[in-house]
Amino acid sequence: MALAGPGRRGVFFTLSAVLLMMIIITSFSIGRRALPLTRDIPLVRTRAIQTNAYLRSLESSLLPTILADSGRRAFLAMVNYTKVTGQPLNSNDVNSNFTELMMNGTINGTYYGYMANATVPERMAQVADLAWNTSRISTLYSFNGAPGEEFVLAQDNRTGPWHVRAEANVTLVVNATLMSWEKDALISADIPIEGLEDPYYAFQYPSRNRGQGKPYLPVIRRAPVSGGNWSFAAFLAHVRNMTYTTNDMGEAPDFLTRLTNRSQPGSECCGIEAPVNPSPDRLNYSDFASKHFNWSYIDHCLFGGLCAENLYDITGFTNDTPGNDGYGFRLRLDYLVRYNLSGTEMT
Amino acid sequence: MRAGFLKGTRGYFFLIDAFLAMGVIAFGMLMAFSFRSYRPQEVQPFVLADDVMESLSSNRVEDLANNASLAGFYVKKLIDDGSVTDTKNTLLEQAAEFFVTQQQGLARDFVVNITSMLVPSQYGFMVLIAVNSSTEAGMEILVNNITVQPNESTMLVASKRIVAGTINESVMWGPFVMEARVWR
Repeated sequence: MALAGPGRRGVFFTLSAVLLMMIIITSFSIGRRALPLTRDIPLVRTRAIQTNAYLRSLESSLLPTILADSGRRAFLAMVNYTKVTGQPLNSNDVNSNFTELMMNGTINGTYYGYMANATVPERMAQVADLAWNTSRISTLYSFNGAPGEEFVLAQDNRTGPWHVRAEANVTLVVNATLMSWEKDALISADIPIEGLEDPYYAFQYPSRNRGQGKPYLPVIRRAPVSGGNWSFAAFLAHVRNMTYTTNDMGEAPDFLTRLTNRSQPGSECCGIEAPVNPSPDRLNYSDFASKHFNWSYIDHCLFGGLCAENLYDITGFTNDTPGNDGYGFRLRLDYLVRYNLSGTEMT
Repeated sequence: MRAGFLKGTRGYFFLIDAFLAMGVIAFGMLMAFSFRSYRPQEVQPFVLADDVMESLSSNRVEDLANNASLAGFYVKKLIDDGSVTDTKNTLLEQAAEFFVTQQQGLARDFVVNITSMLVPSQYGFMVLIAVNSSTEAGMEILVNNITVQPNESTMLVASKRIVAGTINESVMWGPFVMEARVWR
């Protein structure tokens, strides 16, 4: 009876505390198991990682690759357009012509080849189909910018003379059911111009007259010598193969300007030029009017009627026999210096 | 006599009470520590496949070539002998480019060398490429490390990437699906 006194009260309190603590701990532990964060579920995490990786790969790899390939084909089509029609592109329409090719495969509504199954929508459809078939990820995209000019071309110090940069702002929407992304991205690709025919020659009359109206367009390839290490043999190979060099004085037009049949303005960063080979198996310059003998035989000089001062005949190359290599070939003094040539000043 | 007994038993009560209190504290600490400790990562194989693909698709050939490792030396050798023409390619793009340019053997060697240190030996590992089809039947195996047989595995995780590229900056190949599978 005495045990039920004050001494028992402590045990009661202790047992109550134990019971209370067990209830609290158990309730927290049950609650924790019942409420996992969705992001911690492994399957959700891996799907999020994969979808995120797909979006990044679209932005950093797939779209630039598509832009580069379709852009390269678009340039081929543009050059072909100038070759077939003899019409240059309007300098204000280069971006819209390029955009039309990239989106529809046509210039001014007419198909000029090279874009079969290679327009941007067709390429993107392939990627989107793959993403859906393999991962059940849906892909939507839209190009932003001025209507009809979503793709912008530029040559500047970033690209240098041998590439053209194509850029487009795109909004990507990637939906993986459990989660979705919407992202604006600037896609760009540097498209090489080496290997393309030079459209500038499509508009020059001796070139157009050769072989039943089929113009001869030299292929843009870099000269084997750069800087000042020119020899006479290297110069002859340069002329006979009509290879291209840069012009650091800002006199020569870049590739985009050449598409519009303009020798000017010259480009300080990106101008390229080639000597014109007067040999009949190239351009048949035996048809030249006498006025052509008054200009340097560098393409933008000759066709633009420029660089006429301080002309020199090249020793060992220039001659007066029509049809011969070097027929009427003359260069301005600074070109002689650049190519390490000797010559006789034209009187 | 009675008062003496009660006086003696009071000590037992305090003793039992102290034991109970210690039990409560120990139990509480046990529970608290059990909440804060995590089991070994079940997530690891899930993310391992993705990590492998992430590593292959985010690192470029030039990055690995500048790395003083066996894989780095191998890649540098491929650059020096002209097998690799564009060092800006990611490792995944380069493997696919070898494959689509009919250099399947080189593609397999390349993937074996660059993944040799990526996956712990207790995991099975496989890289596949689907050039003509995204179905299982149309996939080609590029590397197959079967230290653990797939049919003995309790967990198999796949990670896929879509790859495309150009040869000599002019001819596009792809898009294709490449897949890494990891199991244990």
